[in-house]
Amino acid sequence: MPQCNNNTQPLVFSIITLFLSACTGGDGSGLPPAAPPGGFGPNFSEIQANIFVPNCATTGCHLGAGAPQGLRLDDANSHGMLVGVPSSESGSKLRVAPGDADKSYLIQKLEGTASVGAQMPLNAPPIEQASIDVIRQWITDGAIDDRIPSADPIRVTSLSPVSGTALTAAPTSIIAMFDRELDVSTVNSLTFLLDASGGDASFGDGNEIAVAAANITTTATSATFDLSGVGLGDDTYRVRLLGSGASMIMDLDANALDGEFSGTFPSGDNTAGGDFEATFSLQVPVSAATLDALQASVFAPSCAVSGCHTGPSGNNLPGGMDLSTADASFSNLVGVASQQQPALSRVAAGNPDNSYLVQKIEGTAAGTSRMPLGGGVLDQALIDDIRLWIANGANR
Amino acid sequence: MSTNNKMVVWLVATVLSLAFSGQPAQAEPYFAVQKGMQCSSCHSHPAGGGKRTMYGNVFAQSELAAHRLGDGELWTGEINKWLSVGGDLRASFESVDTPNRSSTTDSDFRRGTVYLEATLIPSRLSIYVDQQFSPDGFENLEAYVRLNSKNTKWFITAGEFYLPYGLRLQDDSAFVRQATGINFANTDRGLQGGYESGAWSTIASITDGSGAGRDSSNKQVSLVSNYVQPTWRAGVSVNVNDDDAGDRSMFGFFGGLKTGPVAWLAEIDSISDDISAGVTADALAGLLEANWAIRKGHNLKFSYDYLDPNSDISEDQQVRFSLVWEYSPIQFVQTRVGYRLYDGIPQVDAQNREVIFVELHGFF
Repeated sequence: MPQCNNNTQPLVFSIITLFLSACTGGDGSGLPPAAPPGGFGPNFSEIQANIFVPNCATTGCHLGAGAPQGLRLDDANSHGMLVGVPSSESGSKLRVAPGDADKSYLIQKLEGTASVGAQMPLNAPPIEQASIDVIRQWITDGAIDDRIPSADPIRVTSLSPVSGTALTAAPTSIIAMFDRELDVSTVNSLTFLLDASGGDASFGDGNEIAVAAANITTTATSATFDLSGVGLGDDTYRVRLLGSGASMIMDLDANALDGEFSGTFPSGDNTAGGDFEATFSLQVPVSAATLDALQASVFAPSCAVSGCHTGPSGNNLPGGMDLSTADASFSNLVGVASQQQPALSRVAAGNPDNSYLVQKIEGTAAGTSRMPLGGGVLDQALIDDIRLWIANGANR
Repeated sequence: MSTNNKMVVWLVATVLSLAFSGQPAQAEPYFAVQKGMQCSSCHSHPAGGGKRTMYGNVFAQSELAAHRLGDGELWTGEINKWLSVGGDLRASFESVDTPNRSSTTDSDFRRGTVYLEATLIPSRLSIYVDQQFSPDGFENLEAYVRLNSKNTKWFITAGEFYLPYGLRLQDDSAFVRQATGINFANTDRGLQGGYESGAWSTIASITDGSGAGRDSSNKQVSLVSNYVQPTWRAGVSVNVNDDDAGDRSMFGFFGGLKTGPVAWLAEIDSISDDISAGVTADALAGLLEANWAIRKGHNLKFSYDYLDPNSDISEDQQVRFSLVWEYSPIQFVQTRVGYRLYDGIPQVDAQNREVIFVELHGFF
């Protein structure tokens, strides 16, 4: 075959190069738009669409019969070949170990920390860390394939207050946790119920009193019965989460709550349907804590000891505070601003949490020593008596 | 294509157009085109790559390098009549500029490979093994026993080897090598046989397949055949990888042409993947490469890569332009300085990156 004349070569080359310059990359119009790095949810379907399909399941890579290590990351094979499957490069590790992102070989390959082979994607820039963090979160959450509807019913995994608890103070909310994402539209005042027994500690005899929530809120896997501003009297209460009837709680795959509860979590009998029921009681103790009693049980023996809060009020006493008698204690505590925290009263009548005395004896006052200084921690029952005295008005 | 990208393309065109004169140089598949030879002239394996033959070693020292140091004695790789060795060592520096990300640089001792060939019966029976090492560990890629016919035109190998398909480019990131998956990162186990006589060379293999678990019930068949003339060559490649989860089939054409100091390479491959039941992805990958031998020891390479990863999806194609200067100052040493411009879909930033790289390649 004759060789080209050297004089024609620049022209030939220019023509070819001009032709090539017209061949550019695609504008992507045939594909869905991409989420920004990390700008997608920690669920498999979004990870597949935003990471595996554009970066891994490409021709010559993790696609088809020639996929390296036999690992195919197309839509149909990806989850099945990743989750719980040993790595063929490093057989002691799972490609994805549900619940343990650090030990998942996928993460090690993406972050370039694997002991074998190159960082993925091969011959391309690494995946942005923000996107890898989303994959990490998906693995930590259990590496579930959200594209497959679950046939398993949703269950209750915890309740606060704990079932059977005898409370001495009214709860501010009731919180139920579930083992899978809720259909939050099914959690409402018809399906999340609280009843008082009517004073007889029994239910089903017709004298129950329904308690209306201030609000019912949800997250993906929890429901909260808000009791803010709701006065609960002493009684036995029943919490119900309905998994049967006209209105019931369901998951995103329309599986009804498996609610039967025998005292251990998770709830259920492995069959969808059934109400969750738990009870707790409330008995707010009647205050027997008078200042005289507290003076005898707390202030005199623990505070008004030699070298501490005893003697005439003045600068020679800690905080200038004399607690040697009930009258002295009253005049030095109730409504008196703290020297260390002037914004707080030593005792704010009706408000034990904002009383500096309580913070000092509970050790929550920031930057200062817990009282009694060097004398050991007060018994919680005594602290509760002080709280109760304050809550009842801190009367003399 | 952005204004900057067009400027790069026109700069390449201008440089190459103005400089079409000079002396021939050589390297890799384009070297075979420039010399009008089969790959087996310079490499132990008829499909190319790996350990060099005595001729390949002598050629690398006498013609590839711009200057030759030493007293004139040549390294042949032959330890004795029974044993020969070879090796490659690559280190690189790379700067990558990806849209919407900070630029990154990376220095890397990439990989070294040593080759050992034991000739048990001269011209008839040999054992070949390589060992690749890198900071990440050791890896054996090729290991096979080879039996030649009495006239050496026929051969058969058994063991693990690179598959015969297309042009055996040094650059694994070329789209034709990346998309076909037949490159220096992948080997397979099985039998390989070939015939080479005069202008014809045909190599076929049947292997375990590169799918999950190397299942013995599924096989991969690969074939490459080419016809070589002093100034041109043409070839065809076929590959079928049978896998329970879905087959892959590929066929392609490739060729070479020598026009004065420029050696042209071209390859186009059609790739069809059965992804899952009823779902198939058909891809097309292409390469056009010009290698201008500026003068002895210097080669300027311009290449254009094209990849349409799925013919059912519009506007998803990727292209890549590369300009690489290869310089062999002395024997056993080659440097590469290059620039690659990727142009792909806007959804994937990495498909629109720019890469500047420097590579040092030592070999014997």
